[in-house]
Amino acid sequence: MKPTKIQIKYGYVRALTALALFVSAMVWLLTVHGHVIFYQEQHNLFLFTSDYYAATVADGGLVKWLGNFIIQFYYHPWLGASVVSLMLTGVYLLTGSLILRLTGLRDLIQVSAVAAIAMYFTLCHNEQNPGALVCVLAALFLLWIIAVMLRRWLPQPRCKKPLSSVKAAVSLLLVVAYIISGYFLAVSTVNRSERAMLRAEKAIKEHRWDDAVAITGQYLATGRSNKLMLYFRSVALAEKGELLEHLFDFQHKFGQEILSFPWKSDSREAEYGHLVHEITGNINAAHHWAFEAMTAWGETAPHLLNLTRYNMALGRPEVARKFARRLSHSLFYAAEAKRLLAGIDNGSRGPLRYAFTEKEPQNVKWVNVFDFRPNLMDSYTADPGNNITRQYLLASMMLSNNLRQLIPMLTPEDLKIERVREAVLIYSLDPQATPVSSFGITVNDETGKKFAPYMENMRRGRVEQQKEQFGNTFWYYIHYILKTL
Amino acid sequence: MKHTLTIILVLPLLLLAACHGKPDSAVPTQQLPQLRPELAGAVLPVNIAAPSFMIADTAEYYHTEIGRAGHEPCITISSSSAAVMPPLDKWHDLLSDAAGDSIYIRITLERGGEALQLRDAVCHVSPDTIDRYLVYRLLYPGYELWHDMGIYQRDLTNYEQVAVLDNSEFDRQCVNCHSFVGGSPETMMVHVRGAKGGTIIRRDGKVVKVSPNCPALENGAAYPAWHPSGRFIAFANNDIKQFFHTSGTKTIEVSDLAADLSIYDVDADTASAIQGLSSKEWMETFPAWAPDGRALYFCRARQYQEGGALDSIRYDLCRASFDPASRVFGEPEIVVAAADSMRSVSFPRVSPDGRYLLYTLSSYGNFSIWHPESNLWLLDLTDGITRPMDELNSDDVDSYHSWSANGRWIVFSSKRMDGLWARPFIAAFDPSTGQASAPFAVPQQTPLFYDDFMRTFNIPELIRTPITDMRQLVDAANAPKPQ
Repeated sequence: MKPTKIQIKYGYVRALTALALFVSAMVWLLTVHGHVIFYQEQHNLFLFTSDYYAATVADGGLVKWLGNFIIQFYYHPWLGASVVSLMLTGVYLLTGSLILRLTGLRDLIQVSAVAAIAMYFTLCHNEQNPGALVCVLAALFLLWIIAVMLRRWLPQPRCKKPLSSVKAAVSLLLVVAYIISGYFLAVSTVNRSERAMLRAEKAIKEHRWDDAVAITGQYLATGRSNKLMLYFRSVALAEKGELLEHLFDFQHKFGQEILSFPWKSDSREAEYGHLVHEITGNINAAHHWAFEAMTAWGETAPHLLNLTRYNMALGRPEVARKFARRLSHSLFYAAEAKRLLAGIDNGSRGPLRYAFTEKEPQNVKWVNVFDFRPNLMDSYTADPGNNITRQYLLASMMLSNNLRQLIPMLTPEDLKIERVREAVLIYSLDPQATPVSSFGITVNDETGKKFAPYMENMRRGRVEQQKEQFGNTFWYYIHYILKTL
Repeated sequence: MKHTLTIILVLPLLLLAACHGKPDSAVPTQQLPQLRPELAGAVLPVNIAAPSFMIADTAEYYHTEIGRAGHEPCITISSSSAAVMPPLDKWHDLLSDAAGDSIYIRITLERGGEALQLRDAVCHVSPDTIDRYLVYRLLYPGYELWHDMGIYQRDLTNYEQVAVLDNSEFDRQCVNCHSFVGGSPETMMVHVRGAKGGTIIRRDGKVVKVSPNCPALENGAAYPAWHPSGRFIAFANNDIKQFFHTSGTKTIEVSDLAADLSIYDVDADTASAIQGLSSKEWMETFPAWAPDGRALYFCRARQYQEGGALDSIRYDLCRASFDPASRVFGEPEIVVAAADSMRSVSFPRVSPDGRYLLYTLSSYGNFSIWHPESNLWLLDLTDGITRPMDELNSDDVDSYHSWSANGRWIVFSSKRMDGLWARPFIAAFDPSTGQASAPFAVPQQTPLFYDDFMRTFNIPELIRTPITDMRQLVDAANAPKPQ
């Protein structure tokens, strides 16, 4: 049957509204709440196995399982955002259709659009699961089916009069108003710190070191101090070979903890602690942190991938195989899991740089879970070619003001770094220490000249001036920060 | 009409294709089938559930026949899949029929248009039943953190597993060290660690939560051993720490820095240090009673000194006599001087008839589950001869073990499948010879269960009757911490 002119006009309004909602939801999810999509995808791994279904349903019911099914599409943010936006559009269309069928009235004030926007806000926090949206959509669909079946007993839609262009315009303007309001509400409710941290984490995971440095720099420049951001920054800087240069760019009171977290049974820190051990060749320690993370946060893709890679590097192919097999039951990580399994079958150890070997050592050595430096010293001794380990080792010596260990390790290349030259100057002032000249090192003249006004500020107690002029120096760190730790 | 005709013609062809039977002629070979988990040579209890398995040999089509030796097959499975899941009812019929005899698993492979009949994998069916239930803890084989953890009861005659204590029901607290008297859940205990920590004891139909910590000792009660009378529990009170290897094949070392033995009187709700087994000079741990309750076996090492090497801590197997009436222990004596030969004993368990003692031997320390070199050893208490149980041991961890109530079955944890996850293995034991059969993994419903299951089986303990009052145990776990 050919639709009447009136129906077509109302249909246009609804189609335009649906399109606007779809596009808006897509844009919000990919921009304002892009970090939420990332977080949820990284913390949930949907597996096509019966044990996963049983465990998920036992934990959070069918809603959780359905939500996790949707979350798997976040692997490709555009795909996940499309799926969710389509579902939100479905909420709009079904709600509007139900209003029409149950009351006989057209939804000109766009209550159904408000419903869809309200549903959007059930998705925009890290711990919120889209399962609720799936259930609402399913419930609406069921109601719609019932309404269609009972149409004989329901009020007939009053669509006799044509929808005037004014009414249509007002209706569409209302939608625009709702969308703008929704946008501002979304922006105003975003936890900016969390967003910055997740963006930094994403940059680190994707090896976008410049972006990670930029994101953490922007965050720290606001005056906020956050151990995790400083930790991410250290990883990115070390990967760029610039850790020592920028070690004191943002002063903080975390000491060496910006390089490596001491083990405090903190499940949140457990998620990230493996990073530094991995890049410094302490794969056994990285495995420890990654396994703790999996225990605390579940079998998520990053944990399964890390544990596969670590066990490959550690020469435990059967253990690696099990983690990879688990991952292969997912939709989007299956291809990567297959690649890893093929590598395991071929005896590959993967690309990781392991400082040690799986050969049983003559004397058992233990990881120091509280102090990172002895582990670094061990891995550096075992693999002196690892520049990242070297940067971390020197950085830890500087952060703990352990100059007697630092100075003998310095090379002419290191002495090009101003922060290192500042450390050399401080060392040279120690009358008890071996003279720097005996290590073939001299105190840089420029650094010496810069030190005079620093000392002057210190003598006169000009703390603010000192911070402004020398806040990013090694001197400021040891005289004003380290003492308070 | 046309479609109906098509269906009528095609459907029988499809059904015919699906019923791909065993080829009439197959070339016999001497090659043994590769089954995962391995079954060939195992002695099966007459009441055990059907083990599912994968045929590791590659083929386009697999025909599996299982039957009593010298008889027609009882179970026939033909499939393009290498997975074999024998039906439970037919399996039990077969075992009942073959009790005391052997069964064969006959595999015929079809590949490249050729049919190869492999040599039969043979298992013996023991007329002895195994205790019907296996209780274990399931958790990630991890380090310090935990989230999901629980104690579960598995019916070995089928695949049913029920949660005895799942920590999702009591604030994610840690639950460990389940222990029974004589394989009966009527008298049992389990520790709960956390904000509402305590020890749950079930006895005489009552469930209580107590604190069996000994005031005279610095450390809390950890590893338990029920006295056969059910009146006492000997505890090791340990200062347990984790250490992480920098390199090598081991990842974790769990070591005692101090350990003493105490005895808890369940009737009186009092705990006291055991004289002579709680000195500062020694670390004593893993108590185990002789079945007559007149001797306590335990592991003992020199007290760890701060800064000392953990890989130099080695435990001997020791024994002290016990008089239940006076509650007096005798002087400790060394039963197996393992430390002298640079070895270390853990988990002593005496067989129900009191003749044998099964223990784990590793190169140092006492937490053998993290030692790939750890193996099971058997000590004949009548002549003092001890030997490695080569028939059970593998290249990887073979550790925690327990006896069935009739002493004819051993269940133990082994990491032989991949080196990280412990799975329970069962082996028959002949008390007259002291020999065990080839072990087999506890049967599961799906053949790839052990490949996919991400939890480790911890402390497998056999019991004869099921634990039924789980709600009481959960309520006790949720009860306030005892004073």
